[in-house]
Amino acid sequence: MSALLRRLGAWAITLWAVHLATFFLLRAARGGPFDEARSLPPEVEAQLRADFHLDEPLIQQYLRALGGALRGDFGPSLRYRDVRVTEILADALPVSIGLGLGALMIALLLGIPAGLAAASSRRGLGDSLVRAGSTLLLSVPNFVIAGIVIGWFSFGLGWFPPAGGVGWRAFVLPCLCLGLPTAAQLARLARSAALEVLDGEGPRAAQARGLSPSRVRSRHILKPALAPLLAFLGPTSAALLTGSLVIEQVFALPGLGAHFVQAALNRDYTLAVGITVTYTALLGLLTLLADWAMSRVDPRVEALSG
Amino acid sequence: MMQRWSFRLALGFLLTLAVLAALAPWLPLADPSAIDPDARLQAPAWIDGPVLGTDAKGRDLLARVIYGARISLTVGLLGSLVAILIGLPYGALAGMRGGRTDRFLMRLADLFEGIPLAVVIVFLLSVLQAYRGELAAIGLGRIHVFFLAVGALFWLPTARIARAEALRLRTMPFVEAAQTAGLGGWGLMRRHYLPNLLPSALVMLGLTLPRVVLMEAFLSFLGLGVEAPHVSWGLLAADGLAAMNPLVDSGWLLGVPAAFLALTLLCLNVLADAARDRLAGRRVRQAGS
Repeated sequence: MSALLRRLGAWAITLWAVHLATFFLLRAARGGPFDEARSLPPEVEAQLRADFHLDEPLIQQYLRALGGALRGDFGPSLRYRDVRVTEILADALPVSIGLGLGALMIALLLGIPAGLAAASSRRGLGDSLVRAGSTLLLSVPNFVIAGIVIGWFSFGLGWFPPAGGVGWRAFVLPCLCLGLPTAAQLARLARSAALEVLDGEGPRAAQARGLSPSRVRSRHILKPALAPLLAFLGPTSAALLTGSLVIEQVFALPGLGAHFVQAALNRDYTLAVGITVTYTALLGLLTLLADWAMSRVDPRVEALSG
Repeated sequence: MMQRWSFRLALGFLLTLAVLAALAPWLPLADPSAIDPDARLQAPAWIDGPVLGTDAKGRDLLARVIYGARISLTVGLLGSLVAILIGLPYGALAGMRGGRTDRFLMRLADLFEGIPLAVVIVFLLSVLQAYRGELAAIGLGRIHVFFLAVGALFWLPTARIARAEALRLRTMPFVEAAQTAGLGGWGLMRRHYLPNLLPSALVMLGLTLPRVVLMEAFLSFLGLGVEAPHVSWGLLAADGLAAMNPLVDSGWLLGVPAAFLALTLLCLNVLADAARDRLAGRRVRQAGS
């Protein structure tokens, strides 16, 4: 119990630190959110600043923002007038989560079987193919993968829209581009984990005890080989978050990543802070979840729930 | 046998590339930023004409890729060095001191791990956009900020490797002997820990470099990386993606820089694997062939 509490405490501190840092960083920057409307009459701009409480002392603004954030309210967006950041988050989060889950599915369904197949044909043709393929996928930025995929499936075959679009078709290519590098990473990890188990004494001991080959495979090879992959869920979600910044931009998906880049460039203070905090919260929760699952599966890991 | 071959091939490719990049101004290349309206979007032609084609402004892609190598390789190398300069002493200190210092430093590292650093870096770089004039006045470009940002992003893995190595060194007889002989913390660090951590710094370099090069591409794509008139592979690939269009074939604009990126990172991975095997003291398995 105390381990879980300690982790949650660390998570809360991280969230607070990120909120603090992003808040003051954006305020420190020159250029305000109302810059674009260049010739705003001074009194109008003063009125706008007053409306958004930008005329208050900085510390008061910070306390207001912190109080709001604690209640889950990041205030009004400074760019999209009359819309609250929370509403934008509520619209964008499902898009990003759908993208992330789709990518994760692709990564799991492609990566783990590929890695296991490679391990079972060690130094054979399949192994070389998987290793070369995964290294190649990890050696190009994901927007290059996006370009190739668009050229092939959109321009060539015309199956999916190159950008935008509605419904599930809009998500197929982005999920593929986001998932492929992760699949490559998972394949490499699954391969080396499976090889480690195969080289150990576990499978042979199980075989010697007279267990059936299928039971040996499922309980004594697959389970110990796949358990360590759970720990990778944390870094994976971080990689997917980073990747989604680019992929959402390429495919014009209205998710968190696309909003974030725009907000940071436009100095939409409240929106940028809100998205960064959301990202941090997501990452922390997923890492915690991964560690918890790990402690359930692998008895050697310090339990988070006990 | 296989491994030795791939190692030599990778090293050869990287050295050739580095020499080409270093000598770029003296090579018979076109001017990488010379715009030629008459030579727009020419496909690669091996015999005569632009070897790797030209872009939408008629600039020679071969020249741009070679000049891009200068920036991409420099960025990768310097960015990784910054990460190692932060991570190595940090991890070495944690491993050398052990106990409460170790626990504190590693807890701090865990906190950092919880921050989506790529997001924070995008944030930081876009804030700094506003201060470009001032930064330029004291001789800093966005590229320098980028090095610092990369150091902040990638020092964690290097710190963990350094800590593990330092923990191992701690129990070595020669370190214990030096400690018993009264060598202080700083002396131990300088005389025994840092020199013995150098081989693993090589591994860190191998692991970090590809990630830095990819990070540069990521930021260039978002418009926060290398700026014109400079070119980098990431920027070229991003331009290539932007130029894609179902009516006009311009695939080489994406393909050429992507191929250079992929080959370089592939070779770096081969070197990193070799360095890691060497460090682990493993003999290369001959595996029958």
